[in-house]
Amino acid sequence: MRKLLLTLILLVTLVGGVMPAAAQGDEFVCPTQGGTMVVSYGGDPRTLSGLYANDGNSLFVVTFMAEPLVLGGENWGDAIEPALAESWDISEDGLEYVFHLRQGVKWHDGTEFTAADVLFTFQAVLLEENAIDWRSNLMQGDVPMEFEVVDDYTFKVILSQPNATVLTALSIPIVPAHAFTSLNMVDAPFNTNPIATGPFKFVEWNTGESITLEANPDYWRGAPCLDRIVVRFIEGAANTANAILAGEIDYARVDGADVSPFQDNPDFVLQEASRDLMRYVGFNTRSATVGDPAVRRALAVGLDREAIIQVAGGGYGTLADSLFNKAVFVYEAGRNPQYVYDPAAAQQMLTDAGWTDSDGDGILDKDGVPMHVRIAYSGTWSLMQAVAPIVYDNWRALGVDVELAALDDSAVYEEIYDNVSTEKPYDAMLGGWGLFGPEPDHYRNYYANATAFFAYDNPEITALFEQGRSETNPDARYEIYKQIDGLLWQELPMIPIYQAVGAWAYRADLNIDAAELNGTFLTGLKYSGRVYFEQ
Amino acid sequence: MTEYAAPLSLERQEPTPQWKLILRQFRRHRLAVISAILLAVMLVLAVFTDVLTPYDPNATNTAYAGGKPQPPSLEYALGTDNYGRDYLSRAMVGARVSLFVGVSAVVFEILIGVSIGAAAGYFGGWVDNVLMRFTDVFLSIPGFFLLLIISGVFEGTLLALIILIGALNWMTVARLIRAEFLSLKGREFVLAAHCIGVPGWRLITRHLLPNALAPIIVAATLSVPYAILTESALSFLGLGVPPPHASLGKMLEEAQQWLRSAWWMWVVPGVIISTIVLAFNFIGDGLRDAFDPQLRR
Amino acid sequence: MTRYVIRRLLQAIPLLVAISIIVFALVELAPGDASQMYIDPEKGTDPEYLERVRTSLGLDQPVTVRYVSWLTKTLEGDLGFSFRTRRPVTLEIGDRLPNTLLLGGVSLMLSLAIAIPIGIVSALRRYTLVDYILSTLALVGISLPAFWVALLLLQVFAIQLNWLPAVGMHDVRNTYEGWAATLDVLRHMILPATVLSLAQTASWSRYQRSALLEVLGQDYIRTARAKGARERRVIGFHALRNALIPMITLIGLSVPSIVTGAFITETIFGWPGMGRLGVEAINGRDYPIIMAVTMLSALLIVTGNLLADIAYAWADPRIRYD
Repeated sequence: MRKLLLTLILLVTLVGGVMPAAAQGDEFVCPTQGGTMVVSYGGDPRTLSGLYANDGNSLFVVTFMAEPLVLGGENWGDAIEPALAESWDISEDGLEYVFHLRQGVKWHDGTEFTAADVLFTFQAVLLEENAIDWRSNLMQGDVPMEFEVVDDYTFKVILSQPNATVLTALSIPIVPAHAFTSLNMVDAPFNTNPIATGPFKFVEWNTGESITLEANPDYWRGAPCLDRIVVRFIEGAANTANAILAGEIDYARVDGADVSPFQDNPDFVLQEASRDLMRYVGFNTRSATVGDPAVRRALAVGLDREAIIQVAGGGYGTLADSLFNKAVFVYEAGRNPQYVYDPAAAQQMLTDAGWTDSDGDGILDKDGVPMHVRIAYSGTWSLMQAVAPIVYDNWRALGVDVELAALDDSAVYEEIYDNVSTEKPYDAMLGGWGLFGPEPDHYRNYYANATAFFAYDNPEITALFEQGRSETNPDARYEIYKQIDGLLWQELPMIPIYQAVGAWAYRADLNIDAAELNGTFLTGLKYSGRVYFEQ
Repeated sequence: MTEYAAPLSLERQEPTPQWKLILRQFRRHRLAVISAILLAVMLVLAVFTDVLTPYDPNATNTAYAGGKPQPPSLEYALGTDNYGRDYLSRAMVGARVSLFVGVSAVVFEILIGVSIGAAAGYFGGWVDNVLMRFTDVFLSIPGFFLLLIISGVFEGTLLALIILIGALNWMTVARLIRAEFLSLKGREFVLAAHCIGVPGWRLITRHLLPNALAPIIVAATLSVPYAILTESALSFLGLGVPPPHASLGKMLEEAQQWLRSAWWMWVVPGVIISTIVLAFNFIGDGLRDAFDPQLRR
Repeated sequence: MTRYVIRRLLQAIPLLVAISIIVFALVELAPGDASQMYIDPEKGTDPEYLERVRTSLGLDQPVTVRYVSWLTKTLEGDLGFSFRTRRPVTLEIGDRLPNTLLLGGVSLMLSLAIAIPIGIVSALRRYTLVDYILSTLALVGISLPAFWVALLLLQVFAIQLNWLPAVGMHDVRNTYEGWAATLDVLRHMILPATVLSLAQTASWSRYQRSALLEVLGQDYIRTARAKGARERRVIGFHALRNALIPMITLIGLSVPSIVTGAFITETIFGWPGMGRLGVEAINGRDYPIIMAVTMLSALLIVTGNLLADIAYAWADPRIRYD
């Protein structure tokens, strides 16, 4: 149903209709007022600027404070919805987007929000010296999008070619022009002392310990119910769970194995929501051993992914049946035939692909090459650590010589994520990704890119991605991505393990119903202003 | 890493041990004797671990565990972890890793320490000066911090771990040997050997080193606990022994999530590490008492 | 004495430079660089963006250029910016160092306050049951892994009994003034300080015991006794003063461990100190921070040793430096 609705929204927006000012419960009245909610995600943020925040620790804090024009971009939910822009028009040829901005919105320092701020934000993102991750969002090949301030509340985006992904691409938190002295913001004081338009405003950062946010009484969706939110820095899933149990944190997501103390516990509520997050075993498709799609399919059949969900995810996860995350509009459960765990069948598939133990050393080989698979992953990321032993044991049982390389974060990046133009030693890697939102075009960077970490560039799929990007007819677009989905499921540049389901644990007297638990936001809350304490 | 106190004695040891007397003295330290027997048993177990473990320590049994650690049972004597891996087998492998890393790192540490200390003490002069400045550099490096940096360079293999722990802890031994050599050099028997033209290396290996053996043995014994605790601390931080292989520190790290519900997960590795370390400390204590007539009972 | 101190300080300069080269080289040798901190592992990235990040951090320069520029700037008192947060290193360290010194200092005091009396009692009652029990307990204390003890204390006192806070240094829900604020910090400090001082107390009590035993066997003690000095005066004045000398050395040698020695404890108890800063920096190859932490520790080691020697001279009139 949601998918259908989403397609409808896309349809409406693309055909050029005017989006009505979404008024979903804008008149929410807080049952109680006041109180401090202590939350936790991880360690200290790197930055508090919405433009630089692209790591979890930073995004988590920023999500309470900042807002984009339109929801639906990375970390901003799973649906395209108005935020700072009230509505938008699209020209017939699909080359001009006119945004009508919300009037009367105030920055946290009381200044009025206008189209000049939007222009400033996008110009800053485009400035190369700023090294902002979102820059590629605003580029069409080598040409940047053009921007124009029509009046204080009207903002125009001009494209050189039709692009179906504009709305999610522009879903970037807006920063206030008056808070900066120049477009160059690499070392701007703003990065540690931000001003935004969201429900909570920045008060204080005690490094290594906590960040205090305070309610923004002038928030356009209505004043938040809580007085303050304190983000406390606690690292390690086990430590976070301990802190909730000890009553020092009121609300946090708990990982896999740490869920159990909150189950059937009257002092806490445990609530689940699907996260826009996929755990996977990725392949270096240039590898001598796993470069063959037939081998990859065999390894998929030989991997007990249900067991991984149970052990690593504590049961919180749904078995993946697509290389796209659930949040993507083209996803449909059950469309692709599942790779069911069956070690004997996997063994047969490997034999069919030419891999047998011809020299009797217990390791498969083909043409004298032993089946050696080096799996690189972050040894400090507890979830990957939890996945590794099962992959190791399952594949070892098939006769694969598995080498687990648990590297520290920088080493992982050097080996895997850094430009793959040179030969890389890994055959496979463990990863998790997400927060990409509803737009499948984001996946082009991975599934149609010889220099990304799967080193995967299938001409057929790459061409389809190109086609999908410029196709503006929603139905045709859906068909293109459906075709890509089917092809990727056959080719398996990575084995998707499971779609993460988040489990949020919080104090029993905290009410988050109106705030809408939504796993596609890093905070888990769509409307953090509507969290309140029951008295 | 000074969450654990440096184990080395600053006291200077008396040379010329008489082995029988020492053995008799050592036997009077009852806890040390018990520890020695215990360690001997553990060493035997460690050598035959591959034969003795009831299960493959890396074999998962997810159907049995169902995502949660399972308590000790007839099937699994010390229960399983949340992967359904046999905890007894893992503990045995982990204990072997601890013993192996601890002892090898100390052997390596003694090799470097004795070489540098002996060279500095025997040759004196500028050699001594250079070597001691070199030692000072290492002494001023925050050891565990550096260990963390280097763990990133060599992805955690056992050999790298052993070399690293050894390479960052030889300084005390070097100083000890140097001091011992300096005092021995003035003794009559050394002067006499020198006079009759005994070559340098022979003098060192035949006359000086044997007389400095007592402090070396004590220092070595008391260094093992430090090495073992360092390995477990590194593994606890996810940087020690490479997965999926068991190490006691790693097992404790994994047990963090199950403190409330699965006591065997943290009791077993914690007790084993503490026992091994305590045994080495008791033996070191006993040896020191035995070598040092001043503190003799 | 002054000349001796100056000479020692001058000797320390090449030593510190040598250490800085070693550490800088190691960070450089380690795979990966600081640009990875600008990506979330749960998201992907594109190589062009990484290149821009590298340029903006100055990582596109050759290593020798970066080292020389680091060295000259450091000598001018500019420690640079953290690659992670882009805040000045002095600010980052300034935020954390006081917390670490507080925790380290308190646990050091705690260790001394317990270790010295235990050592004295053991030495005076040597080979009695009391001595036997105390010595064995001390060995047990040295042998327990600190992180294990930390986990157990956390489990019992913070989670099961809920007597003490589990994480952090302050209560973030309420703000306290004056005495209440001090008490708040103290409450948060009890568990980490206990863990930190456990091994130290155990090992120092052993040193204290053997130091006092050694002194008690010396001729001047016998002389004092022979002269008819009262036992309390012999122990309290003659023996103890000399037995404390090795302790001074030990304390001097322990000072640097206050800075980097506590990071497992700091991580488990969420203490906002230097240890966690250092570990994060290593993981992210944030070399301005790594260098600052290392050099600060090395400097502390050097001064700690020097202070120990000076204190030694002050406590034992037989020792003279020139």
